Amino acid sequence: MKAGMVLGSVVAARVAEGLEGKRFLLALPVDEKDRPVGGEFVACDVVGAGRGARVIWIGGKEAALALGRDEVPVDATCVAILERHGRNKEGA
Amino acid sequence: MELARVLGPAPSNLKHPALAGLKLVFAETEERGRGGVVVAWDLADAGRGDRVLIMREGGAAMRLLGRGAAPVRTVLIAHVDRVDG
Repeated sequence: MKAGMVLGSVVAARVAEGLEGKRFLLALPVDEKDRPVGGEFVACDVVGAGRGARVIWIGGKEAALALGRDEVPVDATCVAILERHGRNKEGA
Repeated sequence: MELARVLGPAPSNLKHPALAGLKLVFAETEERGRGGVVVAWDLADAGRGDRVLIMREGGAAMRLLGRGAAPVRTVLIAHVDRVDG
């Protein structure tokens, strides 16, 4: 599992079977200090993350397991929203 | 997954039996650095110029195909209407 920053959402009405109604996020992989560590990618979302959220995402075959069934064609899924401890302490 | 643009069909007459009957297309991924042209199994009925989502996970592709172990990894899974944000 890795950290990511949500850049926005991807709207797709025509999808492969099994992906109907699923949410897709455009995200950037980041390190623990929110520094980008790779290029943009798209992940399925099961926690309702929005733009600007720091998230935990999982890649590979486990991404499909996060959707509750393993025959879904996804290779990345956002599975948690990270808390912003640092910013809360600063009152921001 | 990655955003990509469909370049056109990738027709093939001589192919591995596991790929029989699959619609294959050329697509160019948008991401800089890892960009490039891939051949994908099209599950979203995409056409030339369409913006799409490409998935690269062999296990998921094989389970979906249901033909056992098969030489398939890259799947076009969605036709993208728009990207917000």
